[in-house]
Amino acid sequence: MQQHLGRLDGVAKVDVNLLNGKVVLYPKTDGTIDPTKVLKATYDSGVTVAEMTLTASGRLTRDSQGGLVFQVAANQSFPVKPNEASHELERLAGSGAPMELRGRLYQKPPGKKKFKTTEPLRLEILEVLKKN
Amino acid sequence: MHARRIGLLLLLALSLAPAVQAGIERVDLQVEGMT
Repeated sequence: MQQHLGRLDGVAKVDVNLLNGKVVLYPKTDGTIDPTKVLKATYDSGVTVAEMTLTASGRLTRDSQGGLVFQVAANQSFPVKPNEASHELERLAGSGAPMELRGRLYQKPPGKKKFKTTEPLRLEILEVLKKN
Repeated sequence: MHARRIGLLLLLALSLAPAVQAGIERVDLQVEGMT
């Protein structure tokens, strides 16, 4: 699995802890990690992903339907799943204020085995680490 | 004079404030079935 994930575009380093099943991916300084590809590569290596979280910096914006979106790069953004934390950040949407967040992008639904790559990943904000 | 001093102080504060770099910093996975 470490080799599978290490070959992905934008991945600089993969740390695997066999004892607790935790895997951490670090991006290259000039690269972008695609979380959907990470999920697919992990399943392809024969293991099941119970949960995927990310730590990222970016800005909150709105999509054409007015939904909250976390923009981490010019070509990468994640729709935000509404929760208590996202409601508190609503007022910052479109302000251009940079922030660092930790959020959950995927959690294995009970009883469901395989992740479908067609499902869009939505970011559930767990905590705000830094706000400017 | 005061306005100019305040302006300079604001510029200094902004230049010293830690900038948040955009992008994914890390991705954490909790996996099952790893041997």
